[in-house]
Amino acid sequence: MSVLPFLAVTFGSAFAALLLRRWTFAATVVGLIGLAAATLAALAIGGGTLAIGGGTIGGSAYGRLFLFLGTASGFVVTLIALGTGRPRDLPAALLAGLGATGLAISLGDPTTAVAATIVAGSAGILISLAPGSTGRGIGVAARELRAIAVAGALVLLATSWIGRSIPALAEDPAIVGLAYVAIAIGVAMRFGAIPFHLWVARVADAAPDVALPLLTMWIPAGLAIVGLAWVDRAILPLVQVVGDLPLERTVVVAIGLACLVLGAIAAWIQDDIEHVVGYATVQDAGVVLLAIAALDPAVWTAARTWIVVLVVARTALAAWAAAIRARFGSRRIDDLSGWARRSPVLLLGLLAIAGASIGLPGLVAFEARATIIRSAVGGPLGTIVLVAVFLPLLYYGRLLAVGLAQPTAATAAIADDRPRRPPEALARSTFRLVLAVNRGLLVGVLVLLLAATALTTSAGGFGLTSAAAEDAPIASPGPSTGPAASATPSPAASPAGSPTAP
Amino acid sequence: MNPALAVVAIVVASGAVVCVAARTTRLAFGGLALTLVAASFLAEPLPDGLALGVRVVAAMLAVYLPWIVVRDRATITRGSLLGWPVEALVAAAAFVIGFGTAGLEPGGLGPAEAQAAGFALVAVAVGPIVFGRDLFRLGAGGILLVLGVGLVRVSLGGTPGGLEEVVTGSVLIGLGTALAFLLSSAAAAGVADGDVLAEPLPVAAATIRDSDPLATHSGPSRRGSGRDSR
Repeated sequence: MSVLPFLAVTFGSAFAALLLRRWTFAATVVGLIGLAAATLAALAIGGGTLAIGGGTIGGSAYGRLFLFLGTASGFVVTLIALGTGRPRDLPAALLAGLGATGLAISLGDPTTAVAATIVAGSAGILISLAPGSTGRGIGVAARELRAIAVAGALVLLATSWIGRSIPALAEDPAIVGLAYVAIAIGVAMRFGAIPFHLWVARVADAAPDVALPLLTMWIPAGLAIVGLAWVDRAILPLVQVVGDLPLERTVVVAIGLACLVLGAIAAWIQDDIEHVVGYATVQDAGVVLLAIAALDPAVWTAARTWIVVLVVARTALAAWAAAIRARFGSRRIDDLSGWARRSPVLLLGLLAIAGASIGLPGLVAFEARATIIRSAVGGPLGTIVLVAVFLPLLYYGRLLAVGLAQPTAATAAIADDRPRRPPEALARSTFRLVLAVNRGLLVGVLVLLLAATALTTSAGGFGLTSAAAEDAPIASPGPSTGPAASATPSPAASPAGSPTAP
Repeated sequence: MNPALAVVAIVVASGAVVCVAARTTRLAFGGLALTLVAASFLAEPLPDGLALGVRVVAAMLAVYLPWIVVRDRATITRGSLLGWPVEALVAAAAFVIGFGTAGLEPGGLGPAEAQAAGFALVAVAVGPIVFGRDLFRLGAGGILLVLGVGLVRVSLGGTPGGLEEVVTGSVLIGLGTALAFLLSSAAAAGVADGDVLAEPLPVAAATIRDSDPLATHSGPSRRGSGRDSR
């Protein structure tokens, strides 16, 4: 089946949930049903390509996996949001954002695909504000809108410019370099990579914690997938003609390395667990930027593998942070002393998340990241940079140390993970009441489910490696017609241009 | 050069100038609507009727959604600190540059007028995006920027297909919806004029603003208020 049913379900459900937003419960129910249906529709996505209105929409195993994990994670995150008290507009935004992202990674025309990522970003604005936001929070959301527009415009311009025939571009290497940097910077902006990282902290402050996965992970990941495919299809073949863009690559490598090292350190020194989530995502985004910097077809599979691992693992971390905030009533790490002793389920969840995001040599995620780093940096420096992938041990270690410390009086007063019955006086209570008294445990179990998914993905489960190695539906630039055509290998014919050629 | 396209391009650029320079809600939204609708016709050959219809409806919806939120208020934006003549000159200069450079690069498949209007929109959008302090200017700047780049793409790649027109229309609706949502949230939070990124205005700004002929002064005067007297 094509991707169209998925798009119909996501956009239709999002629209219905938004129409019902005045009635939060009804909107949430409609959204949950929509997310469940979208998960099924994602599973049914096949490999065919449809020609519609002068363009094409193609399904792929990678798109199927990405959208399946996105909608399924979204469903679980919405349930967690119900348990932590902030569900408004979340399912609608998830559906619209993932629908637009699904459209973007399925389109054949890169310019249209980038435009679809702007639509996804706009959907994210709907959940960028916590209920009762002040002017400051709205200012953060306004800056988010600005970042979406500027990043989208940069990448749109780049894809439009390089969308012409290769011979025309081969005459002007500077344009190719500028377009390449524009794509990299657009992706960096959307992920909040250093030096665009300040908004990540602001978004983490202003947005509900359960909104972070969509805002800072899934939607930017859509742009990264499109950008990566376009670099592979359009820039890589041109590199053989205009040179390997050393200056431009150095800039992108510098941004990637800064994220990889400073992102982890920033996450380590933060006092707010939502800031930890934000900067941890920035660190992982550094690897994506290094993949763009590599300009090497050998990183194609690794980069797409890493993007999926990134979004799933960081979604689990954001859900863990939301569960902690709801359970212990604070986002400050200093206030959470002894959290792990009170909630072993959340402790297991954090351990699984740490395992998924750091990985071990031999695991698919670890090898993918190592391949990208070696290809982008190379030499002894590459080996040194590879050590930086263990820097997350700093912030995970801090969280664990705080969690295993002696509980404070406030933490000790929080109910532990043991299942509870409603009070005797309410013995004939409803199922809803049973859920209410065990809410903390149930949210913890859901976080554990997300963490287990992340660990499975990190190990290469769900057929990730073979899906990531697939060709992207994005088409190559226009046909060669000029005199330089003979000197310019077709991306499809060239081993360097073939995304699947290692 | 196609005279009809040139007129449409000038209308697109003029609408953008009005949008970023005006302080009156009605005028600012009118300028934005004019730009978005007219930009749909800036292609040669024109898109087919259905695609064109989708773009026009999307353009109107993108303006109407935020308009619903603020239509009862006389002013929602401080307008341009530079004044409309400067904005118009900036747009005109960018228009000429865009038109003049359209033929320099081989491979462009669309009209030079689209690139001229696109350059003008991008130039006019820079001010609101970089210095905009109120929601309307930020949102409108973002919409104009994306639309401007889209027009450059029309000039380089030719008339968009039906699917691309639908997605472009969705972009406009998406950005318009986001702007409407933020304006609504600002109103609920009691943020006057959606001024969410307020920073001290230079003293000369008040003088420049008061000389703005597009301003009607029908809204609540901010001169001498705590925020403006900084």
